[in-house]
Amino acid sequence: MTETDPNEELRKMIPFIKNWNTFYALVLGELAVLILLFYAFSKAFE
Amino acid sequence: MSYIDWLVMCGTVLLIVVYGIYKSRHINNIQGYLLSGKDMKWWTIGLSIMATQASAITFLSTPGQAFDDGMRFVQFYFGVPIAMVIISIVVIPIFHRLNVYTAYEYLEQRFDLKTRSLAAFLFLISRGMAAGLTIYAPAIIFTALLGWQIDLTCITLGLVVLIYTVVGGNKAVSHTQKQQMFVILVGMILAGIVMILKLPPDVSLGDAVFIAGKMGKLNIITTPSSWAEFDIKDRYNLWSGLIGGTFLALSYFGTDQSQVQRYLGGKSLTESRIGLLFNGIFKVPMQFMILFIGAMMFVFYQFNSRPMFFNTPERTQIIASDVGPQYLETEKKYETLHLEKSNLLRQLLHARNEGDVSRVAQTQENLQRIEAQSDTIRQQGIDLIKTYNPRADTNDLDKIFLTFILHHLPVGLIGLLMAVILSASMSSTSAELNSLATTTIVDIYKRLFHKNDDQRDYLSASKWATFGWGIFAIGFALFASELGNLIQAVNILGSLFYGTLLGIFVVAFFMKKIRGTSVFYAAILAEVIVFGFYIFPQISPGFPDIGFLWFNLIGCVAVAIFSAIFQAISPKNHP
Repeated sequence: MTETDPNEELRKMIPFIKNWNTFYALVLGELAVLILLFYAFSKAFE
Repeated sequence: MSYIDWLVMCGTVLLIVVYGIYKSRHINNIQGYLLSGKDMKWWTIGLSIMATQASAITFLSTPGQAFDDGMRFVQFYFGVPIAMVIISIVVIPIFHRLNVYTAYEYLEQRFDLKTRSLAAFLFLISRGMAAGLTIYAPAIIFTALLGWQIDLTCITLGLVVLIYTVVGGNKAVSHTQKQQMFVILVGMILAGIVMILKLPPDVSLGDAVFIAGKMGKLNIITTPSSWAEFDIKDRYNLWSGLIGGTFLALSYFGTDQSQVQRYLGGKSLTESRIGLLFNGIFKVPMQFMILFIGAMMFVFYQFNSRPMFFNTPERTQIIASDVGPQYLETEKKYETLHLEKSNLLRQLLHARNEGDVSRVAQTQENLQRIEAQSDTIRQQGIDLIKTYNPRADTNDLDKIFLTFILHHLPVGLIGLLMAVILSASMSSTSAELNSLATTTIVDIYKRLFHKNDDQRDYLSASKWATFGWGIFAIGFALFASELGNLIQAVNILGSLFYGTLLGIFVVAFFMKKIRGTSVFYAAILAEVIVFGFYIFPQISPGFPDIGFLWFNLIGCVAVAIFSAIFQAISPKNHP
């Protein structure tokens, strides 16, 4: 039995994400961006 | 509610239930019933995970939370994306490789039977009671604001969930959750749009955001400026969200079977992982949206007449009592201040439009002073209610949004929003019943008593277990209505177990040398310590009182440390 490459499987489902590390970075990066945006938003309307 | 609203509400709920039963009509074995035959796509898993976490209370209380305390509650969810990544990397591959039905099944393979049973037991206690509360919590609000009979509401809601969960198992749960989540998102977006459209003509969306900010409702990120200001009792700040929230999310999504079962039903490891990360991407924006609706609702009520106290039945009772005139006097003072506040807010907008910074600051100061006076008067009203009836429910946060729905949304949309709340309740309850049944059958019935039955027997036992837990949940919901104060205790009780459960799994995944007996006793000791942190501040005022989010960290770290100590001092061949 041959084992499928997990990154290959991911690319089949979501072609614009190259590998799992990129996906994880995307999720955590989004959180970081949201926190910064929220902080700026809070300060702007304080 | 009008007939059209009843039609929209019942029609939406019924369609979802029928769809769930239809999609699960070919189930004939235990894997199909408990894990959807492992054929779930990532979007079904993702929506199912979100729907399981979002109970009716999420949609009823969260806008009220922003209305009262601002949007800082969103920080509570900052741990979710971090936890999703960790679980995707560490937990899901192991569960998929071992082909387990429950998270606790893995613990026997890693440790021993007693550790598996302990974890399953902790889950069954906390989740079993929580399932009753998931039914009871929205029912009590419907009773307060719509006059529905609480027992009948609990029984009807419970039975509707029970029908499709018993018939279709996990597949029905996941497919109905997909539709329920769709209804919830559409309903909430429409409610937000109507709320903004209903602002006075001279107040734009930009003005509303400006007002919300100046009134302290856009405090999304709160963080102490120095360590000296750090308050461990403060439940919602950046650090408690990132650290405590991560541990809570790791416990909930990684060790609570009601969530684990959502992604174990994935067609492949990749589908499960994407489903979980989907939740990591959308959870914080979704909560932001709900809280933003709450902040806009606050602005809406600054320009529209609002009750001083949103719990109508308690208000009716106090008005009919001998302190009624005194209470009405308080309300009159509150209304006068409310009008004054509306005028000041218009002055604030005017000053902002003219670019007069000093007048903006001055008006903001006046507004804060009037807001403080309003709060004092409202508190006096609440104190009167408490004096008249010490058992009165004086927390009205969870009734604010429903009051808005019932009084300000157009016919038809009220029915849809009621369907949103019922959908949210049903989606959480069904996942809870399904996971309780799975743990009961897989970790107890099949493992301890009936190891070699055939598939049909297990399927039938699973259906009976779902039915049994459903009846227990309905019974608990009916019982809870007699014991108002117990609800808060049970809510906290649930959170008391998560740290220990997470600790057991952390040791299993990362501390390879630790064996079953060490982690078993470490978990018991950790649980005692967590309970100590909860109980001692109540009986001994000098004992540090810490926010409940930190219990997750304490329980988890305690299990890890004690496991290491017990392993180090145990005889070499100890199991």
